[in-house]
Amino acid sequence: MDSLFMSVLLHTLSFKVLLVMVVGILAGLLVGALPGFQANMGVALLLPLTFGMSPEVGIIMLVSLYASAIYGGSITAILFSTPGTTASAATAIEGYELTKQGKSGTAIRIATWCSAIGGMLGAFSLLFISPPLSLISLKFGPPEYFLIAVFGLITIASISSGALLVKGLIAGSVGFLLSTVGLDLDSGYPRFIFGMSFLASGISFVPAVIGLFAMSQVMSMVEQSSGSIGSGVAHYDKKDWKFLITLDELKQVKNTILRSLGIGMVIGVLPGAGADVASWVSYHEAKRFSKHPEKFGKGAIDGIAAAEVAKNTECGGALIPLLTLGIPGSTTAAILLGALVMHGLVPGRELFTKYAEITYTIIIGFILANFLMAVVGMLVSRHIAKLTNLDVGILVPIIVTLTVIGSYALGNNIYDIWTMLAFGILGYFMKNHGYHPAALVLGLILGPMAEKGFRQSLTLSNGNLLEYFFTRPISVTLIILIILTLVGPFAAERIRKKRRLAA
Amino acid sequence: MLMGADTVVALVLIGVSAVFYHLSMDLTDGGDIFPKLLSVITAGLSIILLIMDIRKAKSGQGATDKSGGPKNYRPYFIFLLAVLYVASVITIGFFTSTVFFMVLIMICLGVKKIANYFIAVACVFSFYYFLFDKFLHVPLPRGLLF
Repeated sequence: MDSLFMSVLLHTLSFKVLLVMVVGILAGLLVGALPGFQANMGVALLLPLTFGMSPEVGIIMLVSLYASAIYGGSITAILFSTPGTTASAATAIEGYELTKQGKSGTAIRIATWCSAIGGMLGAFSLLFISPPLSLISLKFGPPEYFLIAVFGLITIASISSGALLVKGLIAGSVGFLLSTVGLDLDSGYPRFIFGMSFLASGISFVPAVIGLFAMSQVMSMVEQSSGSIGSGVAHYDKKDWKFLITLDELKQVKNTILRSLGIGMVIGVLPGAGADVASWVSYHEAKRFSKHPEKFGKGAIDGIAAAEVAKNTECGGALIPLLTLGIPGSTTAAILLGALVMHGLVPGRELFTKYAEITYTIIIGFILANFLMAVVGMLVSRHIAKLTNLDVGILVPIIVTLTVIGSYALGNNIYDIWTMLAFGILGYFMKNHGYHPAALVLGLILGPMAEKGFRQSLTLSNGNLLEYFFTRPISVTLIILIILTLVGPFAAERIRKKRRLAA
Repeated sequence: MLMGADTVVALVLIGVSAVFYHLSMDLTDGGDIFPKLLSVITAGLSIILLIMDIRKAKSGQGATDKSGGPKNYRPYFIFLLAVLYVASVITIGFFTSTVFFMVLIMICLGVKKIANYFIAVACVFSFYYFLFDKFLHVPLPRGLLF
């Protein structure tokens, strides 16, 4: 065992492995920071390049890209309220408020080190608790998948819309409805395509996200008529910039970090749930447990910490069912499964016995990559932060062309660009009238999972849906959580009113 | 009586839900359940929003959202330019359209330094060309020009 550990450690610290790690991290930061470029796209693009490498070297490069892409989306989310990845949307809410207050350095510092903490601990969990933790996901059936999708959506609706819960629910419901556009997965029958063949594959959520967040943000920037993001918001402040997270900041967010680690881990293990759900659920719980929930939406560092820790922990969590059962925990993990197979590695027991040295090199490499990601991220993001002083007149055309090419590059489909524009104007309207785009986006992403779970539950329950749901303990737990989330804001408002009257 | 934005949204969504529900009736068994359920839920939530907005208007608090529309029409103008840009990408080609679009938007947004035009266009053009065309081999639309 000792000789295996030494061998793995020496291999991980070799120049070749460290070099590919840094390449993967830089590529991931670029992919993550650019709106429209998702981690799965970056991993898919880099995959062919690993063919000539040894398995552990190639896969370390891919997992390094994965982790840093998930983190990288936060940089543009914080600086420009333009999440580079869908998982960074929660960070954009608090991070951009801090940028407006001249504290972009604080926001990036919290995001970076919390991502690193989440990523490293997620990787340690992958190392020590893969087998027992993966057993929980085996207990999830169709009802649980349907309910977790509904719970995720209601969570976002209640966070993003605050007291106007009905607006958030409307946005989420519309997102779910839009997710039904396209060919029905079971029958292959076209639904709501109105004779437009490009809609047969459904509304692609990546262009929709780019439009709802990036394009609409561009329109908001132009509306403010400022010379630069900085002059209308706040200039990049050198005094706010520190490399390491301070002890005070760590003390402030330590409980949030611990809670978010658990959330990220559980959600990461669930196949299909993804970093988006992890970051939003964690953000919601941070607000719920916060002593100052009124600070959320105005630059609460707890919010950033919660979202970042959870989504990066989710990366490690998503690899657990992948390596132990061959079930990818996220879309990016699905591509990593392809990488494993390409390199002749079959997920399961053999990975931890016959190929133990390769597997543990990958896991230790993943731990190290999360730390290096923070170092590289802090070095690079400082320069990206200077972009806040750029003239809006220069940034706007750059971002618009990026949204266009980002929407197009995914599927080489011009209709994706039109989709992006349509959602752009919709997102702008939504923002101006109190409907947060996040709920609609999550409806689009989770809709297929919710529908599949619902339809399978109907079939399995032979029409007795309620009885079927209420005889499953995990379903009951999720139903209780859904009710609490729906009723919570009203109950809280009532208590606040009573206190005000009493005072 | 001028309707609040929320009232308009609620009425539009009720209409959209009705359309989706009606269209769902032609779908296959199984494929119709989820859209019908969501149409009903969306319509129900829209009715709640409508009632809330009417109540607020009657109690004299005005429309539920005062943030309302944009402060000026520049966002819509930029959006229109973006639409024209995308249309020209298909006809003229991505790189040529991008150069023209960037220059036009920068003029509209009041960028004064000529050097900024050259630097911005050169950097963006080079970045897209080397990353997408040369490295990633993404077949960007060529159109009539480039």
